[in-house]
Amino acid sequence: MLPSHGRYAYSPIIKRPDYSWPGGKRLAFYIATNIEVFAFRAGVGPDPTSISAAQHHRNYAWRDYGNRVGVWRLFDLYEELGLPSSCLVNSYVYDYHPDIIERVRARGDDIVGHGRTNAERQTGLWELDEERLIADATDTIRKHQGAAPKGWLGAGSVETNATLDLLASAGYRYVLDWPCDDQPIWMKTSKGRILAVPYPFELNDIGQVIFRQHTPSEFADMIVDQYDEMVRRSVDQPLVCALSLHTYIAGQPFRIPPLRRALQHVVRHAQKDRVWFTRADAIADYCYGMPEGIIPGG
Amino acid sequence: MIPHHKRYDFSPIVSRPTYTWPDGKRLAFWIGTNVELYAFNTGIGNDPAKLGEPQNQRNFAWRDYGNRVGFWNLMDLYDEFKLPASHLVNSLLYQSHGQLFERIRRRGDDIIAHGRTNAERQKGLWELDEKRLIEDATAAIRANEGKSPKGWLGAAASENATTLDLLKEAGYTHLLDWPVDDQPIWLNTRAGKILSLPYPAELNDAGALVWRQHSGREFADMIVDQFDEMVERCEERPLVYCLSLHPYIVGQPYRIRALRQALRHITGHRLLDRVWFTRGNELADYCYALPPGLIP
Repeated sequence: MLPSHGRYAYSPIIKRPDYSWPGGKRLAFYIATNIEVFAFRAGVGPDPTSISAAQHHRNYAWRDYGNRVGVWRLFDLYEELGLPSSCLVNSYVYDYHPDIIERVRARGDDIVGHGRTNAERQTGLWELDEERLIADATDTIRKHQGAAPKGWLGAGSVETNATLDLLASAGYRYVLDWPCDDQPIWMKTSKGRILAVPYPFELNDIGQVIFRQHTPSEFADMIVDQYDEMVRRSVDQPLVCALSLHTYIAGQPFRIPPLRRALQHVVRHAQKDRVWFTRADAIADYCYGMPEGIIPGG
Repeated sequence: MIPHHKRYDFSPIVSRPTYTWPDGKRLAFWIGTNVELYAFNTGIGNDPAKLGEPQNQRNFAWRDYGNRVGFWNLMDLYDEFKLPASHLVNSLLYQSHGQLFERIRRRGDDIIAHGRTNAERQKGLWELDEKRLIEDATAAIRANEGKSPKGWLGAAASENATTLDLLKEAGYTHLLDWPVDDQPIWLNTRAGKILSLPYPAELNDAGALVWRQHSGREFADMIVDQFDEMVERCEERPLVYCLSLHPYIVGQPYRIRALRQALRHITGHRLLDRVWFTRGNELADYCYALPPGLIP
């Protein structure tokens, strides 16, 4: 009746097999830190005050702040609270900002493929050119890390009709582009299945703070409310609570105090024993290790 | 004070050394036939009636008419007047439209690279990706023709700041993207000089008939006026007359009729002995063989 993607079938969350995260935990919580590079006065990129702004030196500089200042503030904040993170890294960061990669490695964080640069989008590319883009990003990470990344989030989280098939062909085990569930699910590709791990469209600083223009305190309230509600509901089903941050947004000094308050609430929660503070790679690995039929889809 | 491209210096046509085309001819005449392939319902492509119209099955089909019907109408018209032609080809055509190339080879016409498909533009690509696009098109022509193309026109003549450098580095000797002169001129690149051949933005059926919405008859008048003026002016200095045609535009029967009148006028002109009917690649070769200092 309606066009469909053909990647997963309907499955209501209340009717799925139950399982737990490691150690009997019920809520997997992870922070996705987006580490990005942009093209000066070219391509695409967000602006702090105007949604439709053209690319200029000022919004370029505002984003570059994230690599020069913001990223260190965020990592320090995570370490203050003992929190791990998944790092979604534009592959050109390896060329321009090796210092950041050093810190990611020192933290033991995972590296998730996140395109080459956020100054471009995969939508509109012919399949051959999208394959090359994915290969460029994958090869760079493999060369520097000694292994290919297991997970992928497209720049701007956009896909073409071929993306999932290309990612599976390139050896990816999971993808973060689909905010359709609070649990990981299998998705079909032409090269077998790939895991979709929850990653937020809404609990995401670029969506809320830049596009919907909420304040840092409003965003902190959202984080707290989302977490509280999911900790509560995780009694019934195992869930994933993911928070997405961008170094050039959350890393601004005035945004750190409300974020600190929200994350302090997260790590000090009365039911924190239900929570697995983890990373996206670990969630995916754990799902791959589960018996057949537990993870929906496939 | 204002941005400059640094690819060539100013040179007024009236102050240049003179030379002639082969056999003392003064007007080089060549036709660039744009043979193109498009993406169904996506990418970029012209519409016959509405500027800025989104891609749909109708404008796709209208362009596909060019390869199925228009091209053959145009080749027959060239044969009628025994005119040579250059073919600016989207390289993706080799995969599915072999018959076009058979006819081109039978005519002895030359191939000039014209990107992969006119459904995309080079402008905005990172240099790495533009280099790959150029290599895709170049490799396809090399594989099918047995030798690399030497001439290039980007899809919609689109370029980035380093396109000229990439083309020179890819082995191209001449290109058609810059409608800056009525004579060939040298352009600077980071890898040495490359030749720019006159190729028209205006005497071009896409520009005139699609974008400016002139009729086939008005276009024929333009073709005749341009020729008449240049065949007279070439007494003073060697000139290049280039006509750009797209089979999916001018190949419509009613436009062929008007074009025939224009070509009849040209091939029957009283000053015909001044005209060298040639092809783009031959023209470039001749320029390369001229003594240094003649091409500005």
